[in-house]
Amino acid sequence: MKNKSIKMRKQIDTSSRYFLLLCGTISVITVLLITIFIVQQGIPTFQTVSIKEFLFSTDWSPSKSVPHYGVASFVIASFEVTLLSVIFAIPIALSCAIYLSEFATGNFAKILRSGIELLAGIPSIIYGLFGIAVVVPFVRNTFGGNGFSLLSAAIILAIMILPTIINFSEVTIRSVPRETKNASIALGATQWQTIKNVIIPSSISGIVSSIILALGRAIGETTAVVLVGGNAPIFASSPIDMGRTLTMNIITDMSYASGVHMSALFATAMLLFFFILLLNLIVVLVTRKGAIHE
Amino acid sequence: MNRKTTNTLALSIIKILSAITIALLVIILGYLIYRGVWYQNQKEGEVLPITTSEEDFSLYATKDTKLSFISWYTLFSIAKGRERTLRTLTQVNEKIHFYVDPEVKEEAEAYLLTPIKDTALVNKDTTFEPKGGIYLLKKGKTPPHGYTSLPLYDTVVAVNNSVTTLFNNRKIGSVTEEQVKDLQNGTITNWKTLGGPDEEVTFIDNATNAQLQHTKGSVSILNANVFAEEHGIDHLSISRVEKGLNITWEYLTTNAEESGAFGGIFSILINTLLMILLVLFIATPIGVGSAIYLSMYAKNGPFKSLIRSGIDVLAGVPSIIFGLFGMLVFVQLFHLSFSLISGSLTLSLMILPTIIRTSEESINSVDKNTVNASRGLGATKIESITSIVLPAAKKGIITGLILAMGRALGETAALVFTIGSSTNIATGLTSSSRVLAQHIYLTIIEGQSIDKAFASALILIILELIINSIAKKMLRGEK
Amino acid sequence: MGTNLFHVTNLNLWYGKQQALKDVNMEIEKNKITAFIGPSGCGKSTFLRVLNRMNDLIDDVTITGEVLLNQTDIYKDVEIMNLRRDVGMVFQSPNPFPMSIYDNVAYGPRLFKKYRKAEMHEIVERSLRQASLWDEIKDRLHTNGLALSGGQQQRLCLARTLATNPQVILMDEPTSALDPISTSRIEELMIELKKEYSIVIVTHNMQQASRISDTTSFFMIDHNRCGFLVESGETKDIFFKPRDSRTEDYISGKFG
Repeated sequence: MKNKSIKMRKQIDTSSRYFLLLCGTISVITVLLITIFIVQQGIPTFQTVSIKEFLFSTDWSPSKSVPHYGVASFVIASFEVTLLSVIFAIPIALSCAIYLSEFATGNFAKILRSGIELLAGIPSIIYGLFGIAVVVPFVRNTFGGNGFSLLSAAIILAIMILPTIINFSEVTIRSVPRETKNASIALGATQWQTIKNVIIPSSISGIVSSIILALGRAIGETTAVVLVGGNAPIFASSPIDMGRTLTMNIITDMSYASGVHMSALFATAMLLFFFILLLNLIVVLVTRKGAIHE
Repeated sequence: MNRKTTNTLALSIIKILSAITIALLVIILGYLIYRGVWYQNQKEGEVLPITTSEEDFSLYATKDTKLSFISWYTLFSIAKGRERTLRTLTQVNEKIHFYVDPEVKEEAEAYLLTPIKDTALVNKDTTFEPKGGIYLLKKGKTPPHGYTSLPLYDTVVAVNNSVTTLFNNRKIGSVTEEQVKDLQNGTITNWKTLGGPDEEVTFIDNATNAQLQHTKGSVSILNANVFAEEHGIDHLSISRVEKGLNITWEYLTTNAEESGAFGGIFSILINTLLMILLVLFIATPIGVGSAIYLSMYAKNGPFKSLIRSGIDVLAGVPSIIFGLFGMLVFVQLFHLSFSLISGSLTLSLMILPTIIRTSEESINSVDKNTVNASRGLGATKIESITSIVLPAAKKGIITGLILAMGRALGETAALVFTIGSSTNIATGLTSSSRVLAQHIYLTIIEGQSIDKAFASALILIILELIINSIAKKMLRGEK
Repeated sequence: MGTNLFHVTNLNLWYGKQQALKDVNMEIEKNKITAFIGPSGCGKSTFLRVLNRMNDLIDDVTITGEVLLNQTDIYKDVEIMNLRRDVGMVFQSPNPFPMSIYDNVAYGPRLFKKYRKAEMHEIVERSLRQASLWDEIKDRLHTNGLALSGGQQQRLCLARTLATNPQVILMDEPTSALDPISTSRIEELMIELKKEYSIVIVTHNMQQASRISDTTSFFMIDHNRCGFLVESGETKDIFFKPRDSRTEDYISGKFG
């Protein structure tokens, strides 16, 4: 028999408390540090470049003798690509969400669920590769242009965000109380009428949240879009033109940028981060508003 | 339209749109498997893929050369010393070792229209290299071990100059072996069928130079060494389709060379494994620790909400921004340079929210009454957690870890500016290294063979599928 | 006359600002079964937990007064972990650990010492015998404790407590989740165990209290939702000749 020291056991207990507290705070600390570091690198841009030019000029030409750093084309491209992708994705995603919650136990539903899981597990680089090989030629042959375009990026992104919208929407739709559905059916409504007039309106805030979450994912996607978007740092006047999003700008130029150019890239990152925080905030507000209404 | 039809119509539309999801999945996976497993490239060459075998010698080569045949022109360049490696021929990074049987030296020189260097001649002291070897040996003699025979293609489709001129913005491209046969047997009568000028086809057997020069639209099949000496006539390029297996055992087990231009991906797979292990090692204690803290220590209040918000925000940060952060902090500030450890640290932060969420769920599902019983017996809080809570939550936590590793495996943007890009196996934490998903990206960006990109992509997908099914099996085991 | 094990003076307890126990004074005797009875929410479980400092696990609890165990103040002069080894607790719902029967019983002792195999086995067997569970499970010691029936599980929890060789066993409504047969088995056990141990039991079941306990303490709740001790005494006195009319009312079922 060997005695275990109570003192040591208590020491382990106390030190583990501190360790676990530290672990708990690492997430918050990381978020703060990310903000601080990115801002610290991005702010010096504005010593040389005016905020107005940065935000509103479409002239991004860091290599000219008089360089210009305007990211307006990228902001527009980012929004264009993400909005298009959401528009493409919504009909399919909502249908899946409705189908899964209404016909949850069928065979097709099981297949659908596995399929969505698989789609969610495909890495973005592979979506990009598929985009180059299949989507780009398709866009080229159907719509003209050279195929590498914001449209191709939107198509690929749409597939990538399907699981996000489906999963969150499905949870919301399922949470509509059965009594509400039953009340509608009992009054003689068809399934579709119930869906259209009762279920969707009740879950609208959750559906909207899922869409905004998907927007957040889409706007931050880099690997897939940089391979199919064309990456021309100019204003894309139509979706079949080559364009560059905020994320594409960062990953492309960062490998060789220096000085003001590099600061401008970090300023681009600041802008991207700001948009994402904004979207997160909107989600919180929408869910709170929805909760109040329910 | 009455309600019933609207209902049926609407539900059908919903089903169809849902089915599109499955269709997309099938198309994507199917295409990836197809491009990943087989490659099919169109290649253009000078010679027809037929053997005339009139010479008294045969050609042999070692298997690693990946040569399926040799054209007269290639042999010519090798003999002349112009072609020293197999890189341009078959993308194999190996020097060419050319051997000639002295018994056929004169014949070979006449055949190739070039003198053969003495260094290439075989004598009793010659040791045959096991790799990159090409041997011109007299017929009937047995080649050394490891050398297999190689067809020699040496015929050329010679044509009158009129056939290959640019005419009304049309110029004849390359032709297939089938089309040459059709020219021979008279199925194709006019060159415009092949995209050439409007000229009648005149096929002459074994034409002389004079014949070809003077007859418009004339074509003949000549030996390459005969054609080489003629002037005033042209030849057609032959296109052939090269098929083969993209993913071979060799590909998986050979190291990458020259930044992935040659060789296989073994070194990259090893680096990927090392990275995953590192990420696991770093992220697990922090992630599970956070989950334990949130579930069993933190009191409800503003601090706990702050931590939760932190986790939610962290989960939404795009990977490229993690990459920038990693570059600023790990690569530059901590002076870890572009290395395995910088990339692993960056990825660990990125997957923290995933680990925390799944672990917390598992820990919360453990009956806390058992913790009270443990405390009642005199155990400290941490003792109770490690003896009771963690073992009970083990399955869920491990499943979450496996899924998080799956995410880390597919990540690219966060690694591009942190992990480096060397294709060699990492020798230490601070070695620059390249991992699978990132390799696919670099292969495409650097303009390397896209077939290789698909092969790597297929391997990545297979790994992800394996990881996902392991996680699923564990979840099922829990119920 | 038995010697006093616990000597509680002026005990007050607050959950945050809400007082839950007021001015409790009590003596608990050795080798006896003491029962706490009273209506729901009157603080009897809270008071039970004062005796092994389990209330310390709850945030924002304030305690004043003195609790002596064998003349030592358990809130000042005793190491908590040792206290909990000497004062064991069985809870209302059986809560065996998700491990083997053997490991369940061995858990407590293992916290304090490293045992050799033979020694540990001796302790496990002794505890399971005392809890009247040994014969039923002696050939499946290494099966999971959760696979037992409810009554068996509760006896396992008892064995677990006995393994650390406590002086006192606290029991918080130990049979309220069990069927009548399991209940009477546990009651028989308690009577057997009091020869070696002292037992304090909180119970809703007055018949149980009158059947098995030697001493009974009756708690009530005042209009401020604070619990207090009405009276303590020998069980037969409390039940047949209570001093306080409130006790009499409760016993005769007028409220509670």
